[in-house]
Amino acid sequence: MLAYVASRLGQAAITILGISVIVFALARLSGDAGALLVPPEATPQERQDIRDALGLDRPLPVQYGIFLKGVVTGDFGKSFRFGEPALEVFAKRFPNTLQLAAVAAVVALLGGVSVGVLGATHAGGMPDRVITIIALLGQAVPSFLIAIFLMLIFSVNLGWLPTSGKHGTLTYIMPAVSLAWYSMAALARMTRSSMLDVMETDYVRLARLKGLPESRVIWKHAFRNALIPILTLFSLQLIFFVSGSVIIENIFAWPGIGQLTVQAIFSRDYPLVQTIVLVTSSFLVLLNVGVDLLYAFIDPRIRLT
Amino acid sequence: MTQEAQGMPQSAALGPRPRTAVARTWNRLRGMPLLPLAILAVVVFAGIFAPFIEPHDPDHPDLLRNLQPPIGFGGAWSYPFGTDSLGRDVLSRLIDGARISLFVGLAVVIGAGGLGTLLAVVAGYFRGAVDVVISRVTDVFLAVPFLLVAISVVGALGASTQNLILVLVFMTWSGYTRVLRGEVLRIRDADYVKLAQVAGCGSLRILGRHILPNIVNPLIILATLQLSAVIIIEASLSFLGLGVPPPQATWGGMLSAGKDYIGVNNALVILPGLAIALTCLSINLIGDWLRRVLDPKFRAL
Amino acid sequence: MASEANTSPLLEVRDLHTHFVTRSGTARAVDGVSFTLNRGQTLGIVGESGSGKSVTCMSIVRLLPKTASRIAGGQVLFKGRDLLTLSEDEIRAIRGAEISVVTQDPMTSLNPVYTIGNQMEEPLRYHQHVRSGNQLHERVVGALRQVGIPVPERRVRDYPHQLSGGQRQRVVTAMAIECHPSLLIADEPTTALDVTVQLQILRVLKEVQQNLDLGMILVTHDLSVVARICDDVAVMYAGRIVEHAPITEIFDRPRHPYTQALMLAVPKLNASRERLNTIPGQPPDVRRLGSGCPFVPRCPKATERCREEYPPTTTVGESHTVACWEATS
Repeated sequence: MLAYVASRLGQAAITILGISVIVFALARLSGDAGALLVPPEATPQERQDIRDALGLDRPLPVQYGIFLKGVVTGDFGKSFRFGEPALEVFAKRFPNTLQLAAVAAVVALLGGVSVGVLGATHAGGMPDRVITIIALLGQAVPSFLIAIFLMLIFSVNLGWLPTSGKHGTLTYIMPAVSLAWYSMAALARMTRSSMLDVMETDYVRLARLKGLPESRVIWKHAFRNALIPILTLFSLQLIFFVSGSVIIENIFAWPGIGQLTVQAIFSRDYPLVQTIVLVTSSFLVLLNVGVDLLYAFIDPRIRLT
Repeated sequence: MTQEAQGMPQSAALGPRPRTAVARTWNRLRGMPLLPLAILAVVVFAGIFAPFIEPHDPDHPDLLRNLQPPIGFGGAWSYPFGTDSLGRDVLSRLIDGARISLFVGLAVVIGAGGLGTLLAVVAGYFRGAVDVVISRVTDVFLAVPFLLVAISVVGALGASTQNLILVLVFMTWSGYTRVLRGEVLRIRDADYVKLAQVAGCGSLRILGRHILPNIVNPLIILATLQLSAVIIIEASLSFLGLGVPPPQATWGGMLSAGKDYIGVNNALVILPGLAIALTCLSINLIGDWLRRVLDPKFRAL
Repeated sequence: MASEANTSPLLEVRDLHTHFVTRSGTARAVDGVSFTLNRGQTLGIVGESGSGKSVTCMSIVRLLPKTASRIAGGQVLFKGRDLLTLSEDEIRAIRGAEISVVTQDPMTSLNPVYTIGNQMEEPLRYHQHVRSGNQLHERVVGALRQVGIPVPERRVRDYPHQLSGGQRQRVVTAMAIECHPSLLIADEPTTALDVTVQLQILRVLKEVQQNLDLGMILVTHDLSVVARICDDVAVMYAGRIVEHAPITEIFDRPRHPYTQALMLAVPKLNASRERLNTIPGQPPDVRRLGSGCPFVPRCPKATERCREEYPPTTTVGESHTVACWEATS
C-alpha cells in the first residue's frame, strides 16, 4: 500500500513537472516572452532588469531553470494589475473558487448518482425515460446557457435569487447548479450504465438468492461495485469544476480565480495567468492522487497491484 | 439462469432474417435517429451554403431597425428572427454562426483526432521507451484543466479563429491517445497479428491492414463525442470574448451580446441557445446510435 | 436409494410453465414440468443448454429476469405451501434460508469487494437475526469447516480473489447451507471447474446433503456427474421432462431416444474410440414449437405420429416415466 502511494505521488510529480513545461512554453509561444512578462508601463531600465532576472536573453533551458527555481521557492513574479506577488493574489481568490466547486461537486455527485441508480433500477420504465432525456440535455446544453436561463427565470422573471456576487447561501444556488449541470448529467448516465452492468453479475444474483432485501442488494452489493467507473468519471470531472468556473464565475461575478483569469488575460497580466494555471493544475493533479487512493480503499483488488 | 434465458439456439436468437430488401432497409432505418440526422443536415447545409442563403449581410448593422422581435412576437417577415442591438439580422447571423461552429468543430476533430491517433498507434505498436514517453505526456495533458489553459493561451497569442483551432487541437489530442492506445495494444496482441508477423508482413502492412481498420470504430465514436464538445467549448470561449473575434457572428458571441438584453428581447439569447443545444443534442444522439451500431463495448465511454 | 417412506414430499412441482417474452415471440422455456422430491433425496435434472433446466430451478425460487419472463402457470408446493402464491417478502424469507442455491461459476459469484466473512454473515443476519459478532464468526467458521476449507478462521478475512476456484465453490456451498436449509439447488455447480476439483466439489455436495438430510436438485448437462450423486434423474428437452427414472434404471434401460443419445455422448474413459459422440442436429427454438414432439428433427426413430402429436407421459417401469411414442407402443 505504501509503495502504491509512493508510486502515485511520483507520477503526480512528473505530471506537475510536465504542466510546468507547458506553462513555461506558453509565454514563449507568442514569440517574445518579454512582451508578456514585462509590465507595459516599465521604463527601459526596469524592462532590462526583468529580462535579466528571467534570463530572457539566454537559452531556453536556462530560462526554464530560472522559471522552475522561482516556482519551487514560491516566487511567481509580480502581478502587473495588482502590484502584489501573483501567488498572493491567487491565494486570496482561490478559496472562493474551491467553495463553489465543492458545492457543485456535491450537487453533481448526489444528483447524478441518485438519478442514475433510479434509472437503473427502473430500467425501461417512466423514471428511466425522463432521466435519459435530462441526461441527454445535460450533455448538449452548455453550462453558460443554463446559467443564463436560470438567471432569466429565477432572477429576472421570478426575482427569487440574486444575479451576482458572493454573499450568503442564496448566491451559491445558481452558480453551483450551472457548474454541476454537465457533470450531473454525465454521472447520471455513467451510474445508470454501470449499475445495469453490475446488476447482471452473478454475485448480485447470488445476493438475491441469499434472500437479501432488494435495497441491500442494490446499495451494498451492486452499488459499491458500480462505484469504480463512477468515481473515475467523477475524478475527471473534478478538473471541470475548477475549469468550468472560468465561465460561470464571469457570468455570476463570483470573486474566484475564474473571474480573475479572465481579468488577468484582458489586462495582459501574464505572470498572474501563469500562476493561476500552474497552481490550479498542480492542485487538481494532487486531488486525483487522492481519488486513486480512494479506489484502493473501495476495491481490494487494486491494493495488490 | 441468464445463460438459460439466452440459451435459445444462436441462429434463432438472432431473429428471423428479413426476406426482402425493403424489409432489410426498414430494419436498419428503425434504429436510426432520423430527427437528429435531419437537424444536423439542416445545420450542415446552412453552414456550407451560408453566403447564398443568408437573407441579409450578417455583419451589416442597421441601427434604425435594431432589437426587432421575431415573427409571431410582432416582427416582420423581412427579419424572421428579428434583429440584434445593432440591427443585424439574427437569422443571417445564426446561419453564419453555424458555419463557424462546424468549421472550428471539424478542424479541431480532424487535427486532434489525427494527432491523437498517430501517437496512439506509435505508442501502442512500437511500445518500449516511445510508449512510456507518449503515455506520460498524454497523462500530463489529461490532467491539465484544459479550459483554463486554453483561454490563457488564446489570451497570450491573441484571439483569432486560427489560434483557437490550434489551441484546441493542442489541448485535446490526449483523449484520443488514451483510448486508442489501449485498443492498439489489444489488437497487436491478437493472434491474427502475430500470425501476420510470423508470415513476414512488415510493420507498415500490419498497421495498414490490421491495426488501423480495427480502430476506426472507436475513432469515429470519439470524434462524434468531441465534435459536440468542441462546439460547446467554442461557444463558451466566444461567449467570454476569447474565441472567434467579433464582428464575425458566432453562437457564443450572440449569446454574450444578447444576455444584456434579457427582458428586452429574450429571442437574442433563446435562439442562439437553441441552435447550440439542438446541434449538440443531435450530434450526441447520432453518436449514441453509432456507438450502439459500431461497438457496444464503448457504451460507457 | 431414496427414502420414500415419508408422508408428504418436501417439494412438489406441478405442471410448471415459465415463459420468456422476446421480440420475436413467446418462448415456452418451461412447458409443463412436474416432479416431486423428498428429504434426503437427490434429483438430477439433465439437458442441453436451453432445455429449461435452470429456468425450472429459478422458477422455484422465483428469481427470473423481471422484465422478460413470467411464470405462466402451475404450482410449486414446498412443505405444502405454494411458493408461487407467496408475497415478495415471504418468498425472500425462504430464499437462502429454507431453499438455497449453489450457483454455477464460483469465480464470479462472490462479490469481489467484500471479505468472505462479510458475505457469509449476511444470510445469518437476515434470516436468523444473529447479531453478536462472536456467534456470527463461529457459525461462519463452522460452515466453512463443514465444506472442507482448511484454516477457516483465516479465510474469513480473505477477499474472493485470494481464493482458488475450488475453494470459492466451497465457500458458495458453505453459504448455501449455513442457515440449515431443507432444499439445496445446485445449478451446474462444477461446470466451471477443473476435472479434479469437480470431483471434490461433488463429494462435498454429497456429504452435506447426507449429513443435513437435504433434498437436493442438481442441474447439469453431464450425465457422469449425475451418476455420482443422484438418486433420480429427470431428462429435460425443450422445456419438458422427457424421461424420469431412478439412476440405475435410466442407465440400464434408457427409453427415450434423446436419453439414449445422451448416454452415447458420455465420454467413456475405457472406450477405445477417441472421438466423442455428440447428438447430431440443433436444440429446437422454444419460441416455435409445434404440436408434435420437438425432438423429431434429431430423432432416428421419428414417425408421422411424432410430428403431429406430443406423446403422453407414460409409466414404463417402477417410478420410470417417459414421453415418447416409441416407448409407449
